[in-house]
Amino acid sequence: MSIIADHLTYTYNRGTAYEKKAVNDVSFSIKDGEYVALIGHTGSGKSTLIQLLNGLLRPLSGTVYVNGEDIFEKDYDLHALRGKVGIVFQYPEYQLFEEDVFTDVCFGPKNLGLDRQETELRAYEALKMVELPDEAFFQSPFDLSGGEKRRAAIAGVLAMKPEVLILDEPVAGLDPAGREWIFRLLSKLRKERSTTVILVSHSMDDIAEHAERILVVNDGSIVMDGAPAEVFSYNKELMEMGLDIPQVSKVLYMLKENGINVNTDIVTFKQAIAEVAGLFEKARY
Amino acid sequence: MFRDITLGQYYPADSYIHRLDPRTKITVTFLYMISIFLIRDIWGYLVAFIFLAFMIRISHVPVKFMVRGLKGIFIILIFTAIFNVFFTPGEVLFSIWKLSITREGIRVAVRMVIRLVFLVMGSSIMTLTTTPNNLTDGLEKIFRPLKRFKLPVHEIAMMMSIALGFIPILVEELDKIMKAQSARGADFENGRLSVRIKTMIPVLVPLFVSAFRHAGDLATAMEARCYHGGDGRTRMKPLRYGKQDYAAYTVAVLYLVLVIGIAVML
Repeated sequence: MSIIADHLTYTYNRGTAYEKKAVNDVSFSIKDGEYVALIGHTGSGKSTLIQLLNGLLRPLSGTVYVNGEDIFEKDYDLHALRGKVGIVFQYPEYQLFEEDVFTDVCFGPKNLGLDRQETELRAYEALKMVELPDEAFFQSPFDLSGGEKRRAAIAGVLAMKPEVLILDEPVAGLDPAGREWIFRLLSKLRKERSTTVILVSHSMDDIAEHAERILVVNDGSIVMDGAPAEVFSYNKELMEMGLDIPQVSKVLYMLKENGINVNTDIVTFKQAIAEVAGLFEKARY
Repeated sequence: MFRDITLGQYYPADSYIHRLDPRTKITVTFLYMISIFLIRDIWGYLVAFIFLAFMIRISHVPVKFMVRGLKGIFIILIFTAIFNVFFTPGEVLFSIWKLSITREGIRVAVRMVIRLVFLVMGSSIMTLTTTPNNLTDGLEKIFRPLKRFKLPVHEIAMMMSIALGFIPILVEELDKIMKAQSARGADFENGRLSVRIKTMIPVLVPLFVSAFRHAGDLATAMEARCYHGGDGRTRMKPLRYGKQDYAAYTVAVLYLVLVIGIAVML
């Protein structure tokens, strides 16, 4: 499913003393099946931008095309769109409300108007997918641990089988195992459902490891758009925006500065290890 | 959705009125309200109007915001006017069907409307130029003497400022939860009332849970910083009267004397 943002602009508190432009003339397009990371400092407008993408906010000007259709057109079915473009908000565990986890996960598919059998099947599938232990299915969501709540909440979005999944800092507050779990889940979704993933994150290491493309938001505008290696080569500019580059890139740039010839286009750990190991190999002979 | 709600009415600006001590503003507003009820004739209203216009002028708050406050009492204004026009006995000017309009009726109606408008605009100046927290601080200090009668003044003020502080937090939370549930396909806009009440459950449950969580966190944080009530507590920004406050009091008193003078003389 492709998404095109066309000159999007959004302003909060319009016409009051607190007026603030959050998104300013933003255009980009995301192709079917892409794995895109959205980065930007706190308050840069990332969260507003993702809410515009599935019609939760209505832009002041500009529009969004999903599969070529204008979603802010008068008779466009925004309700059905919610099933196609899923958003996992920051700390999604705070949206749990039902008496047990299973019923909560059923909420999304039920709202899509699916029959009971399909709803429950999807809920079961989603809960299996997030690797929640079976005995937790019928517990109160409020009795789960923090990590389990997060899993249950994400299952609630996955049960709608979105073709595009937008995640706003899904790893915030998770332990390393939980972090790994999220990225495992995303890979699985991409492989099994060929889901398009848009990931908002502050962890440059995670992004370097997983994303195919990075969009950099600064003060409400997209300032960079490219492959990780390309974006991370602008380390000075990124630092000025209050962002960072991955540890791997830092090490490689440092090596280069000290006269060691390494390939600074490398952003993942595995490749970097191979590159450095290669240097040692060469030095030996 | 709800991010567009602005809390209270505070209009941030840097003006003479903004810088006044909240106690001064509360007291002067109170005096102004009393003065409006002392006025009997057009000259008194003229003085009250000039005073009000002057205050609005130096407060640097656009008149648009002042008028916005009147919207809330618009219906009341209309009703007051209608009832007074038709139901005041006196010299009949003309009558429609069984209702008759009297000279006294028009006079009373106009007077009531002017009074209400002045009252609301007068208090708007105070709420537009004072942050809610500053206002509670001012009230706490004004009512401090009541402590002698075992009234927990500090605690009440503390509760008020915490409650005020929580409004934007809860509004933001509500906004987030509604969006999260909308993203899961919940529909808050359509449907009959009975259906709509049901659709609020997915919002209200998380909202209450989060309100209690916030309250618990805040209590822990206060305890961790050794909060033990008002006794011996000092302020970061103690309220202190300055030159401008004495000036304001002087102007207010002069105004009141003038209004009383006009009321007595004419």
